[in-house]
Amino acid sequence: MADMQTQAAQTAEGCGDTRGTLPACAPLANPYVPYQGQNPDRYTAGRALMKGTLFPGLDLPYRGTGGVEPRDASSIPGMQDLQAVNFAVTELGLYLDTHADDEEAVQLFNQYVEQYEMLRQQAEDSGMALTQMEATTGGCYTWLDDPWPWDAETEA
Amino acid sequence: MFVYEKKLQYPVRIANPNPQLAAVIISQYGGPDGELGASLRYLSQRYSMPYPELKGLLTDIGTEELGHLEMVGTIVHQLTRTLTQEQIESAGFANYFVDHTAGVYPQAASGTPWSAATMAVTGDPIADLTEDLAAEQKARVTYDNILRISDDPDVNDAIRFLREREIVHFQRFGEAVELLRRRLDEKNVYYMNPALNLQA
Repeated sequence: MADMQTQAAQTAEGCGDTRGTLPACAPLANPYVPYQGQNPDRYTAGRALMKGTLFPGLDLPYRGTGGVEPRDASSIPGMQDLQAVNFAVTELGLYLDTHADDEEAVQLFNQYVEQYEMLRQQAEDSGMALTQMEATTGGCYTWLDDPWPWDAETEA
Repeated sequence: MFVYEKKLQYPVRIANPNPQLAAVIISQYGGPDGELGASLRYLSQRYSMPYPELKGLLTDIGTEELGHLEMVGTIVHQLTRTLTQEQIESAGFANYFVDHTAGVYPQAASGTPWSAATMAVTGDPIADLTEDLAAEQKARVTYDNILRISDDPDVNDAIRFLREREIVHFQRFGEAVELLRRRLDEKNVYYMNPALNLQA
């Protein structure tokens, strides 16, 4: 069994980061998507939020005609560390749902969770309540304070 | 239960109103392959899933889709703020305006209200997960088509993000099918319904 796992890992590595593994002799009449290998390459959290994925191997943008070219992250208004780190947690969480035994991903998940907790605390201390339970900074009920997410003002 | 976090998953700050574009993007709020259907599909299918990875994945992706519903609602709202009389009467928006003013209503771009008939819960894990793979592809195409139509960079950043999420979710649902298959009789995965015949 251990041999089989090593073999599968080697195969995945040999495929490169943009490819995954499939069974050599798969049963007919079944839907197959290649399985993403363990410990895949990753973007930083900020870049991941801009790209929509933490994993370069899954970054498959639309290049059809029409529309406008993507912008740099630095020019996207309102991009926040809190959102970036939260996104990394969400993305790694989905990855771990199907790769629960990837220890390096578990470690990274924990690091992002710690970082998120720190940023959330900073937001709370500055009077920005993310949940209703945090909405009592300095004895005041701050939950109703603007802005609500859909009202965010554009930077003139 | 669910706890609301007062933030969007990805920032949406749209500078210029564009009601015609809003009337197209509303399809990803309440259209046949939109985020409302996506979240309800996954959050409803999870109850009959037999294994913990499948329960977890459907819960987590279904929850993320609720965040996407909020992002699409925000895009529509910001595209229809502070409209001129001319914009209200413009072709492509007047029909929406007469029923909903600048409210956000779950309907397709064609005007058809959201319907549970656009999604399926079969209670069979392979059939449900295969439906989910197709659903992610259909939503991806809708975002492709929005990117083709829209020339607003503020809108397109958010739409690109949402489109990429469909691709990641497709990958995870494909892996979920493989995790399910490994637990079934590989020679014939259709020999029974694991949701009914295997109480995990």
